[in-house]
Amino acid sequence: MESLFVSSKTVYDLMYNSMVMAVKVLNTDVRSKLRELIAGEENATARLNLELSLKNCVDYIENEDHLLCPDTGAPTYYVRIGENVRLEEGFSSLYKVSQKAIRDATAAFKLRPNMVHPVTRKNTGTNVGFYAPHLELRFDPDIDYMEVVAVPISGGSETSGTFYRMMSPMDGTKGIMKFILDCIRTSIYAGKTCPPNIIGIGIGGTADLCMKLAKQAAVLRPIGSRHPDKEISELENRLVALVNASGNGPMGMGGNSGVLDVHIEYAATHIAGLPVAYNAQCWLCRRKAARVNADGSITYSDTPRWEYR
Amino acid sequence: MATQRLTLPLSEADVRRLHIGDVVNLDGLIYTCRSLFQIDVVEQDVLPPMDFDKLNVMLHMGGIMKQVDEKWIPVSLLGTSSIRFEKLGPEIIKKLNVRAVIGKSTMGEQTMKAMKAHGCVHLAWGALIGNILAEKVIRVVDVYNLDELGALEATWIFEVENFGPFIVDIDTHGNNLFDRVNEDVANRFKEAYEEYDISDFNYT
Repeated sequence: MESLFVSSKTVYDLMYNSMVMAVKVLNTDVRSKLRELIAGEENATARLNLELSLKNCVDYIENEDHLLCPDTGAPTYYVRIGENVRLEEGFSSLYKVSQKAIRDATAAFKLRPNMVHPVTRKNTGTNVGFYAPHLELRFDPDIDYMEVVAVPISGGSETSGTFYRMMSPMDGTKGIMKFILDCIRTSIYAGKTCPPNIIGIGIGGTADLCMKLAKQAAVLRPIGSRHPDKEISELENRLVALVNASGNGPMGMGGNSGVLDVHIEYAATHIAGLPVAYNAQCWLCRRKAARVNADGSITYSDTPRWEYR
Repeated sequence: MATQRLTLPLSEADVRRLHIGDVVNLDGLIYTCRSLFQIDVVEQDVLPPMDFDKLNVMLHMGGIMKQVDEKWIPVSLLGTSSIRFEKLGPEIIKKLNVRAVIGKSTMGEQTMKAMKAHGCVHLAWGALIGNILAEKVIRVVDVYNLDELGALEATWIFEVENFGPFIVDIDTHGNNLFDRVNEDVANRFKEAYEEYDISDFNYT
């Protein structure tokens, strides 16, 4: 395969542009799902709220200062790299370049300075710090391009919709279902996670991988995508039906539009344990993929592929 | 579901007429605050020189302000989660004569009791309307503690027009909209727990 040379300037542009677009432009899959929910919503207040939300995100797009939400999230990048990719300053330059992109976007008022020291709560005003922005890398032998997915991780759904439990294998399927149902019940109350959410569930792996599966299922898998295993995809469908039928509705104010989707991922796990993780994403589900293709052209999309099963 | 337009400041009678689920839009003066303001008021008894008879609608601020030349304008205006202010809620409402608190989600039992006694409601939004609300601020009237606290924590006074819609989620009759919805949700989930045979399940 011919090498794909990517300059540091191109990496910077992909990172800067994708993050700025992610906080401004509503994804196409969210847009069509919202329209579908509005058409089927029986509660008049819920319908008004969904319509206004869509209007708020679409009608103001030409406005220079337009943001989907004043919380521009915790900047995170998922980078998928083909075998043929060569970076001008090497792969380790991704960390440095991502920090520059986020620092510049924050200085240009495209991002709100959200990131603080966890203990002193000091805010440097740059959104850059230890491990920030967070970068996940994946080398993929099946692709001939590099794709940067910018995800501004929302504060409300992150703080109110994140749960983890290490269970015993003896807890089995019942334990998994108890955990999932308890998490949904707790997180959707009073609109804390800004429902209709995309709910991500991770089963198995190690503690860190389990939570990554849940987070990535929530923020990266497009709405409507299904797990290849039949029993998992059926559970995804059943949980969607349950939350919609629960009557919780948009922002927990009642209605039958309870959830955008439920995505479940699992990984092989140690024989001794059964870890489960839950992560809800607010309904904006902001993500923007920027790709440098084999021919050097650059394309943007809303629907990346990240899973590695 | 008709939207009611309310002129500010609100009277006690205005708010006692409201019920959970009512949709309201506001006209008049509101002010913003976050935790530092409330801690100052309750623990230090430090208040900005504001007329709290004329300013009785408080927004738990979570927006973005931008300075253009000498003027400040809201870029996107939403609130932050009110439940975080629960600890000081009852005292703030009484001390500042608050008739409506605007914020995300809701408040807890102690504040609900105080709201019932004093005559105050909580207004939440069910839509993501940061751009729409910013447009409905027709004038930034004043600001306090901007240098000390920054644009997000400062106390802004806004003149607003047709500002909303907000949904009454706590009324003065002891009701909470989210708790009402939650009863239905609990019933539906109860069936699901039974279906999966986990109503009495305990983890190992």
